[in-house]
Amino acid sequence: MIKINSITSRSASFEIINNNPYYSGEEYEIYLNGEYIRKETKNSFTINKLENEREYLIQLKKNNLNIMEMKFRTEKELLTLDVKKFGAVGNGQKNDTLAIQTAIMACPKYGRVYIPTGIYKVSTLFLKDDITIEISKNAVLKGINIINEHAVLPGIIDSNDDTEEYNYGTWEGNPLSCYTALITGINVKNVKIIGEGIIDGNADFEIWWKDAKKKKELAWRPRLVFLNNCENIIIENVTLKNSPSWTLHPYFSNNLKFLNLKVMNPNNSPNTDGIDPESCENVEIIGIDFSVGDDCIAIKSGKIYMGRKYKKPSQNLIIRNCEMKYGHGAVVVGSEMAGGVKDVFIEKCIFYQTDRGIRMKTRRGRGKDAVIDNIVANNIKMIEVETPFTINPFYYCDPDGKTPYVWERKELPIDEGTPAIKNIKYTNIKGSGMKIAAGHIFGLPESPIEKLILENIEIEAVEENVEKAEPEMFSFAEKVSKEGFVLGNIKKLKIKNVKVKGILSEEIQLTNIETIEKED
Amino acid sequence: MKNIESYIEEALLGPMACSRDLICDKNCLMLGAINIYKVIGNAKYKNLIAKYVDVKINEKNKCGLDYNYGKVLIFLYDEFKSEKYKKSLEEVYSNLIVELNKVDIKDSLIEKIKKLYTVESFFVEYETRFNGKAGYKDSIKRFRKVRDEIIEQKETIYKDKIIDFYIMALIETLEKMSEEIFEYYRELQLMLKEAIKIKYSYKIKKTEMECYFLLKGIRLGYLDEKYFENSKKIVEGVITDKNREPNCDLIMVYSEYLYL
Repeated sequence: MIKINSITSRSASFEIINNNPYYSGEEYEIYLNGEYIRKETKNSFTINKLENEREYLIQLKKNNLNIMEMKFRTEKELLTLDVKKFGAVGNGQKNDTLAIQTAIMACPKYGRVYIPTGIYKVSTLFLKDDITIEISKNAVLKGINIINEHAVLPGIIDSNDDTEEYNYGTWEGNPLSCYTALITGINVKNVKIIGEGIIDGNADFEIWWKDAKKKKELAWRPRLVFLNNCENIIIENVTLKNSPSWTLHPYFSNNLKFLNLKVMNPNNSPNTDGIDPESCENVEIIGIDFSVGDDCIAIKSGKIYMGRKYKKPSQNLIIRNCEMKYGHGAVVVGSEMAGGVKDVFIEKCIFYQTDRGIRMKTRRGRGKDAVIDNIVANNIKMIEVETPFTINPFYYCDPDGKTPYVWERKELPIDEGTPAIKNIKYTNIKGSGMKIAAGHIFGLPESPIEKLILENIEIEAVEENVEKAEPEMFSFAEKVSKEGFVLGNIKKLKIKNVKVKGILSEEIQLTNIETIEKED
Repeated sequence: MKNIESYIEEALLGPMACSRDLICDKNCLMLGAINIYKVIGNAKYKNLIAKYVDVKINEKNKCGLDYNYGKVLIFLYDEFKSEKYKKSLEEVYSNLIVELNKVDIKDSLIEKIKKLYTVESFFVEYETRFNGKAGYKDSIKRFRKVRDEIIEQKETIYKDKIIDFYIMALIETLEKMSEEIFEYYRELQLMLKEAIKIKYSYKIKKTEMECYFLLKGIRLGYLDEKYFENSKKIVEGVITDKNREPNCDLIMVYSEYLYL
């Protein structure tokens, strides 16, 4: 079976439905209207260079035998605006920002801005409603690595009568000033960014990655792609690399598709998360190849202020057929999640050499809207992931994170800052090469995890001795190695067919669990 | 205004008595001189302050160890990185913690407002710099308490000049608070906006010190530009008046004037 994930005027993205994470398990050939296109090994892929408003038949063949086929029709397109006609040069020297921006602003509904082969130096491009931007193969939008070539998006501006606030910039969950991203969308809808080209933030340790914890001159670091209050956005097949901070940051935006992207940042670059949806609804993250310096995907909803004021959770997210390499965590919830995170479905992914696999970070102070609910992971392969599962409600990486209010392991009174974790379900997950712990999963004593299901899980530790390390980031954490599942502060726990091999501790250690249902 | 530089020099290093009032003036004066130094970068001001404080530290002179003095010590520590300032600073902070832990329910609202003004900006600056911002929560609680009482007594209190101290406390504290704990930062900002709105709905003639704080609040982005022109005019009038004798308040006004 094959399904279509998007169709534009010039491209289409498909996904094979099977049980194999990320790779299809066998090589197959793609034919389009009877013509051979290429070989493919992944479940999710994009075909480019299509003509607009045309019928196509896609066939997947193996050894010349048809294994699946499907008809589709590309979308309408009114005209093509080649940025070179607007004065862009693409020689890697000239600042092409204004030329490309002019093409974007001139582009009518159903139009396509076309970026041909070349290296285009760009500070910031602002998106506009109802357009397609195609970055063709061998085209690179390359960031201008000079701080004051970027504008500032202010944090909050109050309306003249002080009754409303307008939020433009954001940094790590707070409405703070930040520099404009290479691709910036504010209040735009119906935009498609397609093609096989590259959006290269060109960040390095001289400018953006230097003194990562400090605000730069006027504002905090930019993202590579920032979407604030946007609707119906597709970003497909392009490569995103060398981001100054989080790579793709959709913020208070809905109906988003991120398909078959490559997200590449050096594994020592600070805070270069891959995709961080923050207070976003209906997000599909499919077929992404991640290799980053921080978390591959981090789902957020504001540190405290934004979550409490707007109460907009991140919800209904699908993460499927992705490969997540290096970095700190593969799929992470939080730690800025004051508006809540719910209905997240992670399926058919491969995690490779990340510090942690599925990780949730919260802490006292996030507030009563900070509810994590219905996080479901199924059919995941974890290779050399140091600690495959963690839930940490004592997370200390905040300016005020190392205080007794955050670290206290005894029950504290429930207050306006108490967060909650409800239903978590992990099934059909295999991990090999585990080093630190199979799982370190805790609720708060005063706000335990409501229900945790672990089913058909097999984790195998590395054979050799490994250096001990903390399984999670909380104060006074004990260093461990090759530990099993350590679970605590949970109301209902269901464990079925969970195996941990090659460990130095008990397979499962439990504290403060109200009810347990266990099957082997 | 008459010669400010010589006034500051005379006031700090001249033969003045160690009376409580004069010391307090000196601390305010030093804060004004710090502001001037920060705008124009003339090291003379910095060195004058260091000279005065060094004498105090060497003589173990405990006179005037108030919280403005604490702020001066933070400035000197930043500039000279000398542990002697840090040590003195810790002493001021420890005294403050002892005082804050004395619950004095008999404090009138006026006393509470004055306490906010004298304590919070130093407390928050110390928390920002040396204590992981752990104490922000406590500072906010103290502000909330005063704010609620002020709102209850709105009519009477806003006609009183004491409300200026509340506004000043908010601006000075915001300046020292990290925006990274945004929920508290924003709460103070909103308290400030509320206070300004109510106060100026009573249309009281603005004093020089009020103008100083309004200008500072606008410069730091907390207040609306609409108070700017009028405040600027009043401040300019004072500063360009050649017959005005400087004093501690006017040094502060002058330091803000330099930003215009």
